Amino acid sequence: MRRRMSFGLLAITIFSMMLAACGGAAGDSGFSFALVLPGQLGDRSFSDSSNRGAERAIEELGVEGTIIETTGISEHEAALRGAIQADNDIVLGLAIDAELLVSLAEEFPDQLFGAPSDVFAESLPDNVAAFQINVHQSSFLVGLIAGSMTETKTVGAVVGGDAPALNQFFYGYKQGVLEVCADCSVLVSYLGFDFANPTLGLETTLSQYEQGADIVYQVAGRSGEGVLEAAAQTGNFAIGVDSNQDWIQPGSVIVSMLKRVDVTTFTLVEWAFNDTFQGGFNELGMAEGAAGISWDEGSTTFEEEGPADMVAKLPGVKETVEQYRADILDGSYEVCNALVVTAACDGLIDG
Amino acid sequence: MLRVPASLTIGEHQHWLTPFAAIAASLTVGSGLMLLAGANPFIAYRELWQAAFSCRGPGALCAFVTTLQYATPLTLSGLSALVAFRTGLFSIGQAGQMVLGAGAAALVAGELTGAGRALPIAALAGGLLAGALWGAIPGLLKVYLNIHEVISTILLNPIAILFVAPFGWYRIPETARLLPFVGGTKLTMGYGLALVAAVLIYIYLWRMPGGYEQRMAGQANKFAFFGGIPKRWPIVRAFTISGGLAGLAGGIEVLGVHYRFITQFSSIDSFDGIVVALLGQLQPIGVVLGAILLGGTRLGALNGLQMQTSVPRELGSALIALMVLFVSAPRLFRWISQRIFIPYTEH
Repeated sequence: MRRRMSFGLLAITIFSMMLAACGGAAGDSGFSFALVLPGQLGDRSFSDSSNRGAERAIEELGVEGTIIETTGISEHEAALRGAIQADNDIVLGLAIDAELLVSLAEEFPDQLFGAPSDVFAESLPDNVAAFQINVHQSSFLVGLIAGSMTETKTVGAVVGGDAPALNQFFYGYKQGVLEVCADCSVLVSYLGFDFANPTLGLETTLSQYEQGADIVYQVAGRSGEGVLEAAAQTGNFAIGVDSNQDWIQPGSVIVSMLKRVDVTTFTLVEWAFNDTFQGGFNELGMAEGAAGISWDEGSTTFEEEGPADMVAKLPGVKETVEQYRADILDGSYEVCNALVVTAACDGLIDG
Repeated sequence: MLRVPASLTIGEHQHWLTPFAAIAASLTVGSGLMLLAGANPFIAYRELWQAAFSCRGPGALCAFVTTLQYATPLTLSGLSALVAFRTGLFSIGQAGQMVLGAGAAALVAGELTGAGRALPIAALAGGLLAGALWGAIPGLLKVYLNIHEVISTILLNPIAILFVAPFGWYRIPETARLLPFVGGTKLTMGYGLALVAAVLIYIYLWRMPGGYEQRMAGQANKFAFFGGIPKRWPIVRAFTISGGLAGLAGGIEVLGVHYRFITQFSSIDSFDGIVVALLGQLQPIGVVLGAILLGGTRLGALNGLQMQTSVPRELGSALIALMVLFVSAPRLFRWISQRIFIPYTEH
């Protein structure tokens, strides 16, 4: 009797699993896309920004979209393959290894692929469209802001890792600081590619504040949350990255550098939806509206919540920013791009 | 002193139905969680099943093939934890041993290009050796300096990562890669090696004198010593074998799946091996099945729950956690089962 009952339980379990497995899959007509993220949502910067673009596409274009979070590199391929097999019209992979994306694109030549940002490849198959968002110019603008507003003549940057794509943020920033404050010193700390460790970001930033910095630029994904937190804890200031982060620590975050992955994510879906998809590599930057600063979007959080003496500097700072922005856009001023090192980078790259 | 509870080291007394009942119980509790999340558990489980265990066609269309790929490192790290558990040791060093094995395999693959067609084998051997040597360290620390293995294995994990960090994004040359059985998948001879390892571990632990020494050292240390079993070597040997298995897992991942050196194999890679060993009731066959279950649930959570339903993917991890809880807390489970279904007997 006893044994029969546990067998019964087992049988019911197995039967219900089989029953469940036999049901038909729900079918949808119309256009659909999938977006595979490099990590999990909630970074309030890079992934969240791309997710906003995807949600905008779902809403404005009236298409079906699936957002797929992963727990890291080891899941990227399975997630992409799952998205391909789910018959999506276009599969987007945010910051996915280029070799993996290209090999999948060659294996599935009829499937469209899109990379909203950060794919570095020599050449791409026709069914892959990739965007590179250059942020050196917009990072230069936040550098101008830091250089104009620092009281200690020392500013810092906390950068996820020492790689050209990340130094593009840092060198632009450093150039901006030194442009308006030639005798300022610019500290930098690299986090060894740990983008998911706010505690590390916090500790690193506290040590930069102890070394005399009063404004720190964060380029470190979720680890950067610790940078913003450190600013609020110590009464110093920070600069946000990727998304508008001014509101996260109101009054402590002066401005955010925007890397508009939401724009490129939306654009890729729109291309596939309108049949205007074109494979290849596209570079975008400040001129195309893919990079900028949070003030452009009308963010006034710091103006309202920041300390009065700092807020008083803003009108002058904004004037400087607009002057340089105009010079950069008409080509009369060059900002160092760490991905294509030119003479503009002289004196910025050192130990 | 911190000791491994007897219920973890000796699995023989457990009822064979325990894992199945634990699965049923965790699916039931999981259904409750899904209802709380506002989802239909039947649909969610169907999607999870289809994304992990179904086969809609050959090769890449067969999800189960990917589940087996996921199960490969899990099987090996599960065996790694099993060997330690069976010797009365609690090794949490699989993550570091895997990373070091991956690094050594990548290094051999890149440098030993003269090896020709034997290159993948040489690279895997390098991974196994590196893991074994690294694994021996906590064993030596324990027998000579009496440093508890939980502390040393935990501390050695980040040190291993520091050793291989300079490798960066080291690419594996084509000639060193493990080729998949079917195009469009990443199931390689690595899974075969994992199964062979399970058989060898079974033979070693239950059919050979060396393994007997180890199990006795684990079950009744003083009695074993009194009976003439050496005190030190079984422990060092267990750690060496345990490390070698994890190192091999790292090598297979790098050569057969990612084609480049990585340090992050899974979000909770420090404990995967222990989870699988416990799910498998510290039996090699159980580890093989437990790895498929864990790998499949992960894949199903990723491609099934997340893509097809409104259930958060974390539910997959929650299911695994519940299963481990029910399997490894037999007394709790027995208490529940006595009140809900039947008081089942042990044999």
